[in-house]
Amino acid sequence: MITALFMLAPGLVEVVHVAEVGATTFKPTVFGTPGCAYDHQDVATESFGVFALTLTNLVIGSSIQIEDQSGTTTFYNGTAAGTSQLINLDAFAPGSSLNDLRIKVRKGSSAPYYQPYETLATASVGAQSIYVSQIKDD
Amino acid sequence: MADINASTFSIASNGDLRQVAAFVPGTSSPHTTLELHKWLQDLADNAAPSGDDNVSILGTNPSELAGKRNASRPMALTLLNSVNIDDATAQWFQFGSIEQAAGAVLYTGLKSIGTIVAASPIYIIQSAAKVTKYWANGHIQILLKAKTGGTLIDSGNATVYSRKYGQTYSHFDVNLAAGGEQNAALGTSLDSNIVLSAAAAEAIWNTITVAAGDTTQDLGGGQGSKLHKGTITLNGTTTLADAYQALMWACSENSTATIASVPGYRYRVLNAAYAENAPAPFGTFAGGKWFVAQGWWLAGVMSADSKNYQLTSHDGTVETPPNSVTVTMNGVVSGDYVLVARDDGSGGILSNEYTVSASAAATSVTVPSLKADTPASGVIRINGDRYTYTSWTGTTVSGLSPAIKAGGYTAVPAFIPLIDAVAAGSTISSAAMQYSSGFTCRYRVRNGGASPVVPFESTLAVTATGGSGTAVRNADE
Repeated sequence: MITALFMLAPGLVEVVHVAEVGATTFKPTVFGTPGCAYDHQDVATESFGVFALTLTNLVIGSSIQIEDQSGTTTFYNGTAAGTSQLINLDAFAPGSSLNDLRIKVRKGSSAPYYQPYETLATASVGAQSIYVSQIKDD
Repeated sequence: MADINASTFSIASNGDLRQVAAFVPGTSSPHTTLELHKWLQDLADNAAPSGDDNVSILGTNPSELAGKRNASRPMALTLLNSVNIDDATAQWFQFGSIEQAAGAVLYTGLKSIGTIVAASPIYIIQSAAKVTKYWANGHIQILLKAKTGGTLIDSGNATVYSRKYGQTYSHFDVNLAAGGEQNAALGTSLDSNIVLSAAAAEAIWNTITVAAGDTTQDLGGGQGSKLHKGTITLNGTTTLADAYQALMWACSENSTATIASVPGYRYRVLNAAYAENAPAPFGTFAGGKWFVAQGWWLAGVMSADSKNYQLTSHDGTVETPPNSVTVTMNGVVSGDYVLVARDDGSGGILSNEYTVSASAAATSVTVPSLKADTPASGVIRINGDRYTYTSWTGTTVSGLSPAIKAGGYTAVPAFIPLIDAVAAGSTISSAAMQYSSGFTCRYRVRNGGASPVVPFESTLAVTATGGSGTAVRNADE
């Protein structure tokens, strides 16, 4: 998919989507002229932008795993250092299954223990905050 | 209990949680279900699987508890998604229950409690068969499979037994369907009545016939004919003490006997309607007496043991063997007239014990409410007249001699002395009678003939062993 923005006149912008044909493993030549901006995504697994996900109310020390909902791709794997954590993730083209996220938060290695917490989210260019409601398991 | 060592188990990527080495009863240290949950959750927040334990945050949640973690009480653990254990691995766990396969499989905790002889062996019957042991002797705390394929095994029922020959026995029914941990209360003690070896007891068992089947019998103790649901037939040379031991062996854990179509090791009672006698399924032996369990008729008892047992009929009547006793008067000489009869409580003889009517020339008489403890033969006094009799049954006294006098009797007082005769020697005894309950007799000894004495009168007590009195013969010179 190719997306082009054309500044036709001051205050008038035209957005053009152009379907690519054939293999799109390369990026076409990028060009620009005054009044014209160009952006391009040639494959569905290529980032479309940034999804700024903030997890709040985290129990410090919890393990965090963010993956796609089919469980095949891990986007983030780490440990909560604070009660709120900003995680910048890739957003993909609208409709991409890679935007369908599963967020896991677990704390079972040391007391206090918490039941595994899991929720779903959809990535998109921009920001989102998710309140993590962990329940004690002790 | 200790935290689980990761090397003890493996978890395959398909969720199979398996023991690395087999559980050894008495040697291996089992883990609680809480410890299993704790270990799984410890793995579940790892960034990635390690070793042979394929659980991490990359995968699904492996387990959850019903309620909060509490090491002080049994924990009901559910293995989630595809995580599962097999029967062998389940032997490693205790103190709670483990459910898996979306509830289709359940292992429930089973714990025995109570006072038992140290190291009493315990076995479990489920679906009418012994569960292969995976526990050491003594109290148990295990997981027992209660459900498989979504169906409860034996409706969730199991019975925990302890039946070691030489000890009293015990069993307890539990239902495992609810999960958690179920308690089985047992109590065993050394049985001092067991002195034979198991082999000797088994040998005696082989001489005894035990058969279920209705039989109506009268033990002769005054309870009349009663229905029994089975018969224990001794060979006539086996003491009751030995028979008791043989039957205890037959009910022991290692018995190969079959009793009323049931393997001896799980025989409990002859009829489901009867109260069980768990310590001794064939009845308790105490004080040299066998209190035979309800429903059994006992045949082939040695004469020496004729009073050393009691039965309980199908309808719950306690049946005692006949107890024949006699009354004897000592200190008499030939020619003394001895009269022993029931005391009236007022210093006299109970001469109106009965009220009878009799036809002239009759040789039998009906005695309403004739007592069971009437001598088998002797004398009946009708309105003071003396008649001997040869037998009685029911309320009929027979073999009167002489026959009833002319004119007969109509509603006159009568009594049956225990002794009413002239002594032929230094003692005189009544005929045997069936003892029912104790009573007092008044006796009189008189002689106005060749050896005259001052009439002597006193009382004696008749007990379960009979009665006796001694005459004091003061010469009447």
